[in-house]
Amino acid sequence: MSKGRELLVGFVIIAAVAVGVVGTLWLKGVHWGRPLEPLQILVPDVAQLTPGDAVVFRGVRIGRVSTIQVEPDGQAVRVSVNLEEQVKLPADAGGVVAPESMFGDWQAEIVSRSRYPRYHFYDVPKVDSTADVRVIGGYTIPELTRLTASAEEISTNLANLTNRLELAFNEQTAQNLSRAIDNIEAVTREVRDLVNREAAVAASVTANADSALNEIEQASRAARVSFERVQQLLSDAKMDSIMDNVQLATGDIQKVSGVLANSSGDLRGTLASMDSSFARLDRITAQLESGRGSLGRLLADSTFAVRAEGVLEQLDLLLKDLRENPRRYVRLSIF
Amino acid sequence: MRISLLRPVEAVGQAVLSAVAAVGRAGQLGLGAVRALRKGSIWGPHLLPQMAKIGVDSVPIALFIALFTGVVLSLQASYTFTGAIPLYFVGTLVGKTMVLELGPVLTGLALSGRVGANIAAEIGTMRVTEQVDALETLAYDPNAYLVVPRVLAGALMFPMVVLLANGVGVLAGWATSLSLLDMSSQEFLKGLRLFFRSWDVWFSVIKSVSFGITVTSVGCFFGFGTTGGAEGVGRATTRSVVVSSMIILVLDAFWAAVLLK
Repeated sequence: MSKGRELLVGFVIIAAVAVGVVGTLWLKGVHWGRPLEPLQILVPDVAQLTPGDAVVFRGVRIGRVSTIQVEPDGQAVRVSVNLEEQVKLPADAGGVVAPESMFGDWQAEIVSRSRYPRYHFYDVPKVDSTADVRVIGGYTIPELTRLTASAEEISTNLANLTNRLELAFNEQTAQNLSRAIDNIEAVTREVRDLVNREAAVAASVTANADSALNEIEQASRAARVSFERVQQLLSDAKMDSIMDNVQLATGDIQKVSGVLANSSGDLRGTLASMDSSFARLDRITAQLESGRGSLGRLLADSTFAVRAEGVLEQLDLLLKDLRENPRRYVRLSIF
Repeated sequence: MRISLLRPVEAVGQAVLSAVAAVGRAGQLGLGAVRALRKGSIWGPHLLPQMAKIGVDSVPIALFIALFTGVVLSLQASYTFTGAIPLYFVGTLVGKTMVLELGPVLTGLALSGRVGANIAAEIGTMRVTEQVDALETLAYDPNAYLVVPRVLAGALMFPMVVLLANGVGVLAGWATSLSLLDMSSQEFLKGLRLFFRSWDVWFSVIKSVSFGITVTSVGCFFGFGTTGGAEGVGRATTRSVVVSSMIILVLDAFWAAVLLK
């Protein structure tokens, strides 16, 4: 084999290896000689982010994702990135894992958390805060496929619901529903009228009750006064004396009658006795007429009998009304 | 009458037996080649010439195929994507398709015709002219002398050719995008880098190694099994190309199913 052929073989091999290795490194974006600044982002999940994806800050590509590892406790994913540019990141930096475009390529963007207050960035444990490599919390925007899946599920449910409605809501159902609505409307109207009527009745009952209560109060007050008077009268000793006097006068009259019947001789004495009796009777009558004494006051008060009678009438009316219209005295409440 | 009725059954039996015998011969050849790896003094001197013959001499045809494949890929991707998908995905499609599929497979198919047929014809001729028997008479292991250097050269050089073909194909697609399409280098490279993974290159290399071993092994197998003079050599050559092409396509699907899950 000639030297030229051997050289050719070597050249082909070197060229092929160079194409493979250099091309791979170039396409992966490896930059030789530039210092890299490591950074780690903790996120709940990474969606479709993969090693090699871009790291962007303010729209400028400043690095690439190097490794992605699930944390040992399984609570988060640690995304290690290498920043190719010496860029001063904000103090409240956070990582947003999001699609770069609608065609499945993802990126990790370094942002200031204050710009995205609604994002729930992952809280970095204190152990990581003290690590040599800076660790920031991240937030993963739900990928389009998940949103699409959710939307598809919702649309499927809606379709099922629509089908069921379509099955249930036929023309007969519509007519029934229309009739039901009409019935409900009529019932509502009647209920409204009933409520209005009952409200008026209730107002009337209330007024009657107030009036009845006033009258009962007045009657009871008058009865109380009358009863007090009766009680006072009964308890007063003058009544006994008056009764005694009346009894005595009656006895005297009987005596006079007896004397008159038995003896007509002593007419003068009899007349004198009669005069005395009449005088005594006149005195008693005068006392009664003047209203003095318990019985006099009782007899002199002309309103007592009227009031008592009015009270009895009112009580009769009240009892009658209670029997006939018990609803007036029962509080009616609707709604 | 009875004989004619039994002929189909007889044919099935013959086919099965010949298939089993072929598998047995292939196994014998493979085992013999593995055993012959120890005899480096025999196959060593022939490795580099075979690498030049199988690899270097195949580079032009492989690059020619890759060149026009890259051009066609770029144009077809642009034609397909226009109005629906950003054009920078032309770079993605050219890169992915060349590295993952067309680079190894087209190169493998092309080389199965060129290398596999060459090996089958060469060894078949040696077989029918009893040169293989002469080697055995001279105490040379035909496997070590004929099979091992060719298979090793194929396993080593196929990936090199495929890598070069991949590079040329991507460059051709890039050049086409710049010259024939309304694209910039930034756009093409953005798409090219977008979904690029270094595993893609490894996948291409693994496939091409398997294709190299397949093409050379099948050529050697049919070459060693050649009978019937010049006509037999031609038949072995044809079979070698057909069978190695079929195996390449089967392996292509196999590796995709195994390695791209």
